[in-house]
Amino acid sequence: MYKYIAKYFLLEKVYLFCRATALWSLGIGAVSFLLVAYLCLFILPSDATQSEVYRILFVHVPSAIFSELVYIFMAVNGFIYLVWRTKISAIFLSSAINIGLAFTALVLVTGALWGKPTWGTYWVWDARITSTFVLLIQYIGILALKSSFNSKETADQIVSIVAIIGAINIPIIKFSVEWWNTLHQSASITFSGSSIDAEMLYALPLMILSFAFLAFFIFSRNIQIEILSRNSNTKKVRELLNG
Amino acid sequence: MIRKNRANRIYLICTFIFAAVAIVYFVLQAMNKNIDLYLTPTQAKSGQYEIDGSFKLGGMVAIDSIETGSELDVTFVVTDFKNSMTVNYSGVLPSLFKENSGVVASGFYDQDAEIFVAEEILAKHDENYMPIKIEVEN
Repeated sequence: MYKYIAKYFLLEKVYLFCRATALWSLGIGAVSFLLVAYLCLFILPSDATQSEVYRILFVHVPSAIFSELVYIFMAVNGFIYLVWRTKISAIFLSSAINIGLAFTALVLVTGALWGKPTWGTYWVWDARITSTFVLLIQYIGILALKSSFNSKETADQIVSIVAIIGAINIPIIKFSVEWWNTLHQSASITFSGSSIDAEMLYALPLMILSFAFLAFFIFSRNIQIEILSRNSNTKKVRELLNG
Repeated sequence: MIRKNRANRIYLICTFIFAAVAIVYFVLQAMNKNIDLYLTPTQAKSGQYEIDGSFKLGGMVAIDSIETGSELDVTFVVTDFKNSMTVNYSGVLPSLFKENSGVVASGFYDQDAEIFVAEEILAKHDENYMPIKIEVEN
């Protein structure tokens, strides 16, 4: 089975796949983002208690989802890399770091901007906000670690270990609003349903999709850079760049 | 031989993860009381928490309890539906502050007057999002 999966993840195949799909992903992502943003800003009804300011939810929630998903993706790839020593997993891990960092920064900034008019403050050190802030520090730390070693292999191993251990923070972020008293409200969307009215809710998955396309564009460009820079002195790379 | 190494690495990583989870669990257990952003009236009155200095009190604003005094003075009752505490505040309230809605007040408890004197009021928003129209119909 290992060989069966591995043949789809040959560096060259991944590189060519990324090169072929990146711009499509950017196009679909940008167009759908503009359309859904118009829908969220002008077509959806205002909220009964928060009126217009609730619309920031459509950036806040997708960012929050991706800030955690990207980290899980990194930890899983770190695990695969440490066990099977597959170079592509290390490349996937390194290529995802700055995307996760951007989403985490975005979720904190949109949260603060939403917090001022609703709660009355930009920032409180409650469990949800503090644990998300810790996630931001984790991303910054991993990004710094990645470029702190002379040997790529050492860097990959250390980054994988740190990513795996840091994944403990993900369930803490998720359940912080249930385990402790927080200012942040508990989840609106659970397995038993949604407490966001259906008239507003349908825009959220659309926004999540358009975020996914935009993130994939950056991700595939990062992968291309990683593959090229790691193999810059091989004949194949010179051929790829020329052809 | 290679397969055996691979299995060993899996065990090693799992041991590390288990150890890290255990450490974080115990640290969080030890910090549990400090992680809570606020105390509910029940917690504040239980005697298990330090309430001599300033702390944050959180709960729901009891229905029909908001009394506005002169200027910006306001008195209301914070309840967790088991216990309640009277809160006095002088200042601008956040726009989401209303009856039967969440609130977090920071200040100190005046033991003699049995009143919580708040210096800052934050409104807690719940997880419900609803268009204006629907609420009017209800």
